[in-house]
Amino acid sequence: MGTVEDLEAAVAEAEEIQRRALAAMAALDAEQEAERHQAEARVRAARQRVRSLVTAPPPGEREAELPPEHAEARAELDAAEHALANLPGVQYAARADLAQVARDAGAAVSQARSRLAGYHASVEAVRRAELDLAELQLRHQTELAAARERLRSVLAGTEE
Amino acid sequence: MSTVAELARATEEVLSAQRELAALVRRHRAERQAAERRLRRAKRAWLSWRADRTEGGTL
Repeated sequence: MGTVEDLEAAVAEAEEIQRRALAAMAALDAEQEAERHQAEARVRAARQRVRSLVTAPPPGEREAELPPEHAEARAELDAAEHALANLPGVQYAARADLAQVARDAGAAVSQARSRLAGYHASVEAVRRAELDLAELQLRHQTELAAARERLRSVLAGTEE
Repeated sequence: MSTVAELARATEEVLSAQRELAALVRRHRAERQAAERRLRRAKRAWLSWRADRTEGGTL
């Protein structure tokens, strides 16, 4: 049987699921951002290495006769650029799943809150109606006593 | 004022007070019935809410 505690627990549970899904999405984004930064740093370092070899060839040597480390540096730059270009894209499937979980949890939170509000509203309506009835009965007793007193007074007056 | 006139006036006063009392009782009954109807409606809404909750199982 449902109780207000069940409803409050449902709200808390849905909020926790939503919070975890959003945190997982953020972690996924951060992880991929870090990988991209790492690949960019590798490219920058490789370019720097190539530039330093090209702009500062050993004295007396032409570019065509650059030492083997130049070819190695070019190869590293190619590899680094390739790695950057081929970074795995955002893990769309996982991210989409998490986004769906977060949306579902958000909807569950709204629904549970709405039901909780319905519970409080119906309980409050009963309490107010009971209070109204009690106040009415009290007022009626007072009014009746006053009316009876008036009647008694009139009757006493007529007897005199 | 004659005795007959006084008696008529006194009678009218008594009848008036009785009518007033009767009207009060009628008004009270109507008010009480209305308040009881409101209470029954509120309780029905509450019971309906609980029935939905029980049948629904989940939120």
